[in-house]
Amino acid sequence: MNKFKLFISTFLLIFLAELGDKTQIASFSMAAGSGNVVSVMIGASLALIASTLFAVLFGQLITKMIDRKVLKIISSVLFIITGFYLLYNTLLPYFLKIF
Amino acid sequence: MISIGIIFSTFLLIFLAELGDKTQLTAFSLTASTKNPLIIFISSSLALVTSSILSAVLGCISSKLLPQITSVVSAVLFLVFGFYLLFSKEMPLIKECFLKTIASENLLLAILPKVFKKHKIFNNELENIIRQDRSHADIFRFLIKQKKFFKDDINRSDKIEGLTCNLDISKKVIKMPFKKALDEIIKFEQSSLDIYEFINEHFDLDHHNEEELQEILKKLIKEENEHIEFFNKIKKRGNHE
Repeated sequence: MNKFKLFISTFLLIFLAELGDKTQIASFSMAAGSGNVVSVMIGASLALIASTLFAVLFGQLITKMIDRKVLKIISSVLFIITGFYLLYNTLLPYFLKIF
Repeated sequence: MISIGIIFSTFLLIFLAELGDKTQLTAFSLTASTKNPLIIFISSSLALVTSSILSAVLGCISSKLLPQITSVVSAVLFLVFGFYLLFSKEMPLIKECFLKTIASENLLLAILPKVFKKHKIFNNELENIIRQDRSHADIFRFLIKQKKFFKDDINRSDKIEGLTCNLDISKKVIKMPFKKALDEIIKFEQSSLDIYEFINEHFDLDHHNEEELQEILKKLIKEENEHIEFFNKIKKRGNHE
C-alpha cells in the first residue's frame, strides 16, 4: 500500500471511529465544565497522541516476536469483529423498535 | 488562560479512558500488519487531535446530530479494512528483491554513460561494465520467472529485507559532482554485490542442486567486484589529479 493511501485510510478510520466516542464526550464535558477550552484541547490532544504512541510502539515490538502472516490474520479478524460490533451496537435499537 | 491543572487532569482522564480502547487497538493492529509505523502514528494522532478539537470547540455536534451515521460508516470502514487485510496478498520478499534489482540495475545503465560522458571519461572498460550490468538485469529477469524461489525459506529471512532496502540509486547522481557521483555508484554496486553474495550463500547452505545457477551467481559476484575495483581506481586517479 502506498504511503499516501495508508495515511488517508488510517486518518479516516480513526477519525470516524473516534467521533461520538466516550473520549470525545469526556473532553466535551470537561470543556463545558471548566470553561477552559484551550487547556482541555491541549490535554486531550496530548493524551491521545501518547496513547497512539504506545499502540504503535507496542505494535512494532509485536512484529518482531510473532510471524507477520499470523499477525495479519489476527489484526484483520480484529478489524472485522470491531466492524460487526459497531454495526450491532448502532443498529440493534432500531431492530428492537421494529419487532 | 491555559491552566496546567486542567491540562493535566484532562490528559490523565483521556489517556486512561483510551488505554485498550478500539482506537488504540486499531493503531496497534495497523502497525503490526503494515510496515509503516511512522505514518500510522502521524495520521492517527492527527485524526485524534482533529476529533478532540472538534469536541472541545464545537461541542459534541457530531455525537448529537449524526451518531448513527458516523458509527455505521466507521463500522463499514472497519469491515472493509479487515477484509482487505485478510485477502490482500503480500509479495514474497525474494520477488521484491529481484524486482528492485532489475529496476535499479536498469537505472544504473541509464546513469553510468551520462555521468562518465559528462566528465569525458569513457573507455572500453566502462562499455564492458555497462554490458555486464545489462546482463545482470537479464539474469534477474530470468530468476523472477522461477516461481520455486517464492516458496523458498529465503523469504523468511530478515536479512533479505534489509539488503533490498539498501539497494538504492537515484537519478540525481547525474547532477552530482564527479567524486560524489562515483561514491554513490560504488555504494550501489556494493549493495548489489551484497545481495548476490547473500543469494549465493543461501544456495550453498541449502543444497538446492542449483549448480548452473550458482555458476552464474559466482560470475555475477566476480564481475561486480571488478566493477567496484574499476570505480575505485578511477576515484583514486581523480584524487591524484
